[in-house]
Amino acid sequence: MKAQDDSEPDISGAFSYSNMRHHNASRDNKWYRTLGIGLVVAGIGLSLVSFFIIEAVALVALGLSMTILGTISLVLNRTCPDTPQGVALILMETGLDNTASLIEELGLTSRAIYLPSSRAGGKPQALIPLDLNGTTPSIDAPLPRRLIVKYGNAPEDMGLLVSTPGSAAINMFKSKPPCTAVGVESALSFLLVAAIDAAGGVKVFDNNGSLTIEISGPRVPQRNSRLQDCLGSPLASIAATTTSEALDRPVMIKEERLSKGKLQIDLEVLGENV
Amino acid sequence: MRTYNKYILTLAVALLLTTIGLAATGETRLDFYYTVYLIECLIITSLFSHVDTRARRGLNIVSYLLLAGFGFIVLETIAEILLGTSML
Repeated sequence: MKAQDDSEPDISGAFSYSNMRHHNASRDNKWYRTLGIGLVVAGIGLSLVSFFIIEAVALVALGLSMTILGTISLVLNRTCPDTPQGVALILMETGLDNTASLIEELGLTSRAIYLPSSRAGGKPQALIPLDLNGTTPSIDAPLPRRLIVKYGNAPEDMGLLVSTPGSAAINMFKSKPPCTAVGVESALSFLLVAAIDAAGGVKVFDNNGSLTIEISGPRVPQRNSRLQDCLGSPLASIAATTTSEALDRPVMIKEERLSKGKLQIDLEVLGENV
Repeated sequence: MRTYNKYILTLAVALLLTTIGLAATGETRLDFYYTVYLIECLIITSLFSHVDTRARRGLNIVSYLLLAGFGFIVLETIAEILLGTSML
């Protein structure tokens, strides 16, 4: 039973998960609106009654604080994402399933190399070599923005250039992340913790030429599939893309492991040291 | 959402504890309560400044409104000193 789960994506599970997330998003939106309206109305009422009738300053202040809190809740309600999380998850699942089908059909087993936008036609993408032969290719020249690309001089230096979850997530940055391990940590914290709420915290450790990224409280499901073998998990993919873009160098996911609620990702930075 | 929830909860706890604390010490100046609320709001909002851009923009507007209220308190105090009468 477990072997079957490992080899095939659990589609029914994915959709029930999506539904659950959608209900959570809708509930949160309603909750902020209800909380906001309730606090503003109760706060103004309490302030007026306390000021004019009871004449108790502490209660007027309490009403004032409730009004402030209610206003902030209403502001947060207005800024909740327009696209329900469930829909976003379905779209992501669809895109990843298509990529997985392509990879499985071509029988690719190589680990993907995450390329910065400067080397992948203006958008960070992942190159999956058709056959690595145990060597790591060096990609110095920018690759054309096509699905099937030739990255070296040898006839077998061909690969698939695909978009990953990180390719879309990188658009959330206003500017390019700083080119240091601390900069990568700051950028990933903003992206994973604040912007997409996919993790509880991020730490980055610099190991001279490679980086170890520790993501605590990951909230994106892990799957054992060939797609994940090639591209890594969605969180690892986002981490690799962000690192690649920050350092402006190709990056490869060496290993990722989940233990004690923490996802540890070892990234190899190709080319010069960090 | 979790960040928003943490922000709202932190703010609610801070404002409630301030109200209880000041009331327990017998504070009767409403402008003092308001000033402390304003400072707390600004500090906590700064601590959660990593919320997304749209939320930050909305929270900035709330901060400006609160600062306008503080400006009104300052003007009222100045008027009270100069004219000897309170506007409220």
